[in-house]
Parts: sequence; C-alpha cells; structure tokens
Amino acid sequence: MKIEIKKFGTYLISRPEGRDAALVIRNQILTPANARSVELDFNEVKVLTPSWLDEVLQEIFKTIPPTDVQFLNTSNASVKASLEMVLSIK
Amino acid sequence: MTDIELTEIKNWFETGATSEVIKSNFCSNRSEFNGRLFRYESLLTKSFSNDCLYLVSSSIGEIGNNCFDHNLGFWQDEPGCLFIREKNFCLIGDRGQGIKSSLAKVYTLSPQDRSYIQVAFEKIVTGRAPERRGNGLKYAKKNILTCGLSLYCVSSGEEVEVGDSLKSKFQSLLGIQLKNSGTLTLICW
Repeated sequence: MKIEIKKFGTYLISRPEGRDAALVIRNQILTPANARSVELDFNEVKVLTPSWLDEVLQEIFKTIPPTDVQFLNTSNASVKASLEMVLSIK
Repeated sequence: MTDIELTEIKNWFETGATSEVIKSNFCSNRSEFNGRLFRYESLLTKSFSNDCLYLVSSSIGEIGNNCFDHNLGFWQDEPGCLFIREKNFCLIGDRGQGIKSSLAKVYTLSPQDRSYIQVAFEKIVTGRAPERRGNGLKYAKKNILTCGLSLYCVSSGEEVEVGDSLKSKFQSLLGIQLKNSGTLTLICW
C-alpha cells in the first residue's frame, strides 16, 4: 500500500493537521486487507515538521510494525531531518 | 523595523497593548500562522538554498506552532502569536504561560540543568505529558546550527542562545529585561 503524502499538502506543519491526516489514513486509506505494510511517499513535500510526522507515525505504528513501514523520496532536507528526529525517539 | 515599531512590540509583549504593527503581524490561530509562513518562502528564498530554505521554514513552523500547542487555556489575553517576518530575521512571540510554567508541571530541574528553557532546547521532555512529544525545539536548534543561523529565546526571565550570540542585539532591539511570562524568539541570518 503506497500513501502519497503530498495529497495532505506540501507544507505539513502542525500537530492538529498531522492528527487529522492520521485519522484519514486510519479510517479511509488503511483497511484490514491492505494494512500489512505501507510505503509513505514524500515526493513533492516541501516543508515537513517532526510534530506533523509524529502524529501520523504514531497512528500507523499502532497497526503496522515499524519494520513494515517504508519511506520513499525522502531527499527533501526537512523530510529527512524530521524522519531522523521522530524515528530516533520511537 | 523602526524604533517605534520595536517599542510597540515590547509594549505588546509586556502589557498586551495593541497597535498597527501588532495587528498586522498577529496570528489569531495556527492556520493564519501557517499561511503567513507559507508566504514567507518568497522572502526566504533570497537568503537560503533549497536545503536550508526548507529546514528553516520547518523550524519556524515548529516554534510558531508551539505558541498554540502549549498555551491553550493559559493565554494572558487575546490568543495568538506575533510573527514578524523580515529579510534577515524573524521574531515569534506569544503572551502565554511561558516555557518554565509549561515544563515545570512535568519536569523537575536536576543539578545539571541551568534552566527550564535550556532543558526545552536540549532534552526530550514534553510540557504536554502523558503525550509523547517535545522534540520540536531540539529539532529547531539542530537546524539553526546546521544552516549557520542564530537564535535567542527569552521566556519567564530565562534565556537560551543557539549559534552566535544575539543577546546584545536582542537587548538593543527590545530592552534589557522583558517583564512577562510569555515567550519571544528571535532568529537571525
């Protein structure tokens, strides 16, 4: 299952926005049939914060083990730095 | 900024007095703040290449959203944050409860800690326990250093500096000691 993060926006800043995205992912995108593994595609995301990302990953990790979550197109500096920060404290 | 505008910022921080410069730079909610941050990119692109442009935007976003995350129910008057966007610096301020008050609810200073504000920028501790949060200011500090910027933050009489010292510049702009529990952060490049 691939989730294109840009569909939530290209400036992903606040926790409440991250929480909203997490709920959409949980309730409308991940289903019991496809929730075994997931690819998060950050293509075209311009600004990401650890706060937004933390809310999304907390929700995903409730149903999918971290080892089954892959991150694609993470070359943007804020994407890379946010992933490093959030994954280092999980 | 003119001296008059700086005086107005100082007055707002200390007393809540509004003026034209405050009204035109005040964000009443996080959506307004995020919208202004989005539009700030056109000015930031004149100073930063892609990597630092996005790291700086992301760090400003974390600091600005902290104003809203940590002050719900504790605003001294009108909820919101001041967001001054200039070519070579930005200033983010709120009249909330301050970092010390927020952190003191969940963290006791150890003998090694200098202040609550220093802990906020250096340790993973959240003022919103039991939620697992509290990495935003560490993230901002790391990016400020990576991109060669400087930061000075003052809150409840405590202060912290990242990068080159901005204390004298801050004090020449806004005075020696600001009297308020809220938080003001100056980032220069």
